[in-house]
Amino acid sequence: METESKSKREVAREVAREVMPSKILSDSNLKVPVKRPLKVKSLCEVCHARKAVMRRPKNFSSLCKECFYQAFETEIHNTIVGNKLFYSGESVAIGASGGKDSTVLAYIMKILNERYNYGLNLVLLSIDEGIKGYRDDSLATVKRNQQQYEMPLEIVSYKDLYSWSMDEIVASSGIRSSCTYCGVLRRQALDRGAAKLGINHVVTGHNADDVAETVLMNLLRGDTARLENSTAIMTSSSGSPIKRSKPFKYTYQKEIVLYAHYKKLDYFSTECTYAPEAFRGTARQLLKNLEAVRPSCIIDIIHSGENFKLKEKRKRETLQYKKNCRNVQQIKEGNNKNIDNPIEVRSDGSVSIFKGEKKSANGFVDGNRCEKCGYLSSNKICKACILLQGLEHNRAKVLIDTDTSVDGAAVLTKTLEKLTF
Amino acid sequence: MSSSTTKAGAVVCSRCKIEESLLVTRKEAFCSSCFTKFISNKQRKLMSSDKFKVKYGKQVNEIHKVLLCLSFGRSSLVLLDIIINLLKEQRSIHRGRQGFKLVVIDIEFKILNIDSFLSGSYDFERIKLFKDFNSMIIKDGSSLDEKFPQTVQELLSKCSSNSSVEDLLDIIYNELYFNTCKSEDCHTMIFGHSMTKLAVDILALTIKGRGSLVNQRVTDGIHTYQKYQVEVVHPLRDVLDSEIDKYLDLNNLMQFCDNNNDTNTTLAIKKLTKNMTIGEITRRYFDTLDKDYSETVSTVVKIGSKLIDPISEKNDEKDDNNGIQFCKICNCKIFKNPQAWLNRITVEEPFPITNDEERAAYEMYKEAALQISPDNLEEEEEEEEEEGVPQKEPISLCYGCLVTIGGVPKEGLDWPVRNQETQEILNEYILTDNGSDDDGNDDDNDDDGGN
Ligand SMILES: [Zn+2]
Ligand SMILES: [Zn+2]
Ligand SMILES: [Zn+2]
Ligand SMILES: [Zn+2]
Repeated sequence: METESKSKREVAREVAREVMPSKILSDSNLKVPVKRPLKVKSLCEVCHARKAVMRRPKNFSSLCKECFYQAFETEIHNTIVGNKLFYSGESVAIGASGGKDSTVLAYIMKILNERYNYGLNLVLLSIDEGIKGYRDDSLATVKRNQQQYEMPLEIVSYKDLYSWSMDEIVASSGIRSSCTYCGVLRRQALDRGAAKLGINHVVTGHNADDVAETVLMNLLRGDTARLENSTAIMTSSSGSPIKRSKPFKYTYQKEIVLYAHYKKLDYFSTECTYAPEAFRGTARQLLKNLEAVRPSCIIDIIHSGENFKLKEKRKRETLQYKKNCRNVQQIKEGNNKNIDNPIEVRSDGSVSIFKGEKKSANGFVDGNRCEKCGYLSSNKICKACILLQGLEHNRAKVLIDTDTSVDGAAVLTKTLEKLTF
Repeated sequence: MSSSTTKAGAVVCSRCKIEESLLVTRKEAFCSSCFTKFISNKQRKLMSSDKFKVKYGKQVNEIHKVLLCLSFGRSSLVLLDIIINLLKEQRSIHRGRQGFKLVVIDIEFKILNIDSFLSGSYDFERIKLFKDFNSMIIKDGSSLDEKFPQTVQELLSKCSSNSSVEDLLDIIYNELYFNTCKSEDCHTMIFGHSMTKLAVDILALTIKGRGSLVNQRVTDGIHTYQKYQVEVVHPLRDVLDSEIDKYLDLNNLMQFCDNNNDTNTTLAIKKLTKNMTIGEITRRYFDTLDKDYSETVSTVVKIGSKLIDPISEKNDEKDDNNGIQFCKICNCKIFKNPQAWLNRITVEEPFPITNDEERAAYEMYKEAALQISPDNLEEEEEEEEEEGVPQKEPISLCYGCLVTIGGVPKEGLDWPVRNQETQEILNEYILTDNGSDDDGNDDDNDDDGGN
């Protein structure tokens, strides 16, 4: 019943399923040497020439190491080329945390840049949040990566940028809200660090799992401002000249782990030590459960996300604009507790996702600068400064009464979750 | 979504101020009859157009037919109860006249004529699903004989994954509902979906890669099925699952519910996650969501209802097919070429052979593959000519179906294929594992060999 039109993989599966070694041996027509190093059914489903060593998390096909590398690398290359992420001669900063995603990203960017002549100037950009025991080791990893990949490295510290280290922030705000800070501050830090180097493009290690999670979150939160752009591969903060892109948009988290493992890449195994915000946690768990049932669900969700289109755009944007104006006003008046149009500062560090031409349509005021720090911001005061303001406020409180500091942090987190950026 | 009763304190119903309240929902205390009225009013609000009202004069004969899709799940039973009460009320007020004629379709593929239900004599009609989804009505439906090519069960038994079965079944139901609308000349179709069910559907469609279908599946409005226009309404779209349960309870309807209809607790203990379907996992997600996030259900329905077809994307794509293609399985519009999208992000190029050992292994594989898959290329080419339809892609499937078919193993799946315009069967296809291939297997489609 089989025909040539079956995919190679399908035929390979047939072979694996039906050709038992005994069957081949007993068949006199087959010129297969009696002494074989490999069994047919243990061959890679793609090249049929090497022993399969792994099952691809993406589609469960059995692959040899070489075919896995080839697939992994080519898929990322296709993503980069298909979305025209870079231009020749562009300087690109790789957000490097020393964790596996960014280590694999640095490695991949280097080999693809060389293999396909992208003509990019790659720089490792690392943020020192000032988390004792975590950052010390991971920064050491980044420094080794610098040697291994022969790339320039720039380290920007929170202390330098914000005069607060992450440990100090956690001590003041409580561990529960720390990821909110982590996200906002790290994002700005990357942008500021890149700007310092005169680089307008930052690539991050956000992978397909992160993108799928974002689609689910935007749906579950009913976030009409973000839903259509949930899957955008290139984003920029409102007002920021720095582009950000995710070459791993279609790359499974698990495959990044496998790739790092087989390539024996040098990474620091702990990612951000602070737990995600609770609701995001439920979406993450849902995604895990789904992936166990249907591994393709991650790209399936991204596919859905790419096809989301909302109606009545014009009306919504006008409304959005009005709300933004009001929010700016409220922030100015120091009254940012009851701001409507709640938009969460996401813990993965990505904030707003509006492409150039959409910016003005969404009511963002371009080219404004933060009144406190001078950083580009659509609001009068930038996100980081609002956060820091809260911290300063807390620090004052801590001095007076230790008990209220906990409440203060919780209140501040709530406020932050509602801020519009 | 807590609907705690306050019997002990004998709180008075906040609506009638007379009866003792039996439940609290949406922060309001209700007695049994006020609650029933409250839920019924939600249906009446969404079906308030004149076409559902009792007509007099010239319009008397223009009576409108409404198809109710009954699954004997909780919410569709509530809807049936509400509609029957509405019709009874119309009859008693308007001396036996009804605003519309109700046709009820049940998923076991039989039709119940509700007029006979009201008049006391039951008139069941059975319909049998043909290969091409042309349903056939069998009066006095005693014999469902064996001459029909395949049953739905046979079709689905080929799926290896529960989620694929669930997905295909969903497509079959949907197709059958619309088909019945057309054959029964019903211009309105009503579903019992509660708000919770709609939220589950929106999330599940997203997860299955069918995001572009959300709009069509959960919004109310006119749908066109084979040039036949049907208005789809979800009259209970504003009713929560907890309220559905209360309604059943208060009106003694629980006994009619299908046993298969899972309650929260049975679902939670029923299965290990890995044995659950995508729909079940999604439902459990909403069921177990913390009370802090109780608004998630309505939030999801709200945003889901704002989605529209991603038509504009089409212009950006350089697809040169005139007009939009339709999926051969679920019949939905295909906005982007899903195979091309998948190919871009899933590479399967072999890494070159580098040494003799690998070459030997590959030769061994080739020998074995030849045994299993003898070359019948010519046969296949013939098949394509025979079809006479110019097409670059041998078969067009939407992304969601491509994924679902991925869960169908080995011998493939016979799926009835209908020509969009003429509703005739053009051909039989076998969908292989990766779904993109037209296998052209003509061994078992002699009986309906195209046109
Ligand atoms: Zn291989
Ligand atoms: Zn600032
Ligand atoms: Zn009452
Ligand atoms: Zn389809």
